[in-house]
Amino acid sequence: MYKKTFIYKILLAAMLVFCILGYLKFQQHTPQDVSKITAVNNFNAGDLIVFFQNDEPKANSIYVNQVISVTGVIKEISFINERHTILLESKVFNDNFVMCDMSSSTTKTINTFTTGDTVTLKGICKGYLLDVIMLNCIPINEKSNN
Amino acid sequence: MKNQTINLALFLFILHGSIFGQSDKIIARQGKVSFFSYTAVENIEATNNQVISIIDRESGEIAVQMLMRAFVFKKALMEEHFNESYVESDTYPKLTFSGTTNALKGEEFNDAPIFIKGIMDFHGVQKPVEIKTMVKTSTDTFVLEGDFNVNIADFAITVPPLLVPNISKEIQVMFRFEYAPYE
Repeated sequence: MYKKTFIYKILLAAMLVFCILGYLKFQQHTPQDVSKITAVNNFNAGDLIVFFQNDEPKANSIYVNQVISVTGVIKEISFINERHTILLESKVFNDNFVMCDMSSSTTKTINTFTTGDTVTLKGICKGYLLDVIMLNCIPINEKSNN
Repeated sequence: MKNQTINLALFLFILHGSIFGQSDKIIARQGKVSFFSYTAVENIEATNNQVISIIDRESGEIAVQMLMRAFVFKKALMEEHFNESYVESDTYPKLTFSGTTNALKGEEFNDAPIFIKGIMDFHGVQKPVEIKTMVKTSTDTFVLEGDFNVNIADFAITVPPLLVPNISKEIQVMFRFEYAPYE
């Protein structure tokens, strides 16, 4: 009798834990905090664009939804639709960039950046349109002026 | 498949013209597209701020392309369900719209609606659509904005029976594109 009650309590506790985990998972907010995630790869802007242009399905399968870091020269900093965006350019392409949608926590740092600075940004890769698109980006090094 | 190829060809044609031709083309790299699903059970909302659009103002051709995975939701699980169960982003990573409208030159359209007819290629389905759009122009900006409804059944999106009360059959889509000259 005692054994049955014990098993019943264990099962009840397991169900409770399962429900709590499910609830927490549902309540988990996006975007992710990329500062706590290690980048799976580091690129310069030109290499990343080439990788997507050469074989987009392969690049998607490897890097989409993964955190990567990209180093490039700031082509443009914009604030459109209440989002800060940094376009990183490369020496290879004139019309294709790495578009980094910046995390809202980085506003102060962004204000210290100017076009022409070389920066490394870490963010979640989402894929390729005309540019490689990255979300939730944060700077991970000190800038340097070219 | 044929329509999909035509859409892609039109998009590339406009893009190619933008890069190599020097006609009156403008680009929005950071267009905003949001959608809402209202039901009694829950409201679902997501926004994509990295939608690209190119317009040839001379010919009236317009192309729009977005990554489905770039939609940001308030809840991580909603985003996961959206990408994996509904729009199948791994199989259909992009939505493309290719259309035309009357020439968009000058400021005579300011604050007046225009209609853009075209083909929306989404979730493997190509469907003709007509979208009512407001045009706002000034000396250095050109903005298209508006909203329209999408019936999810039109694009072969199926909702599991258990979740039918949670997902609206008709999704409201809002967009805003701020264009700049394509240099």
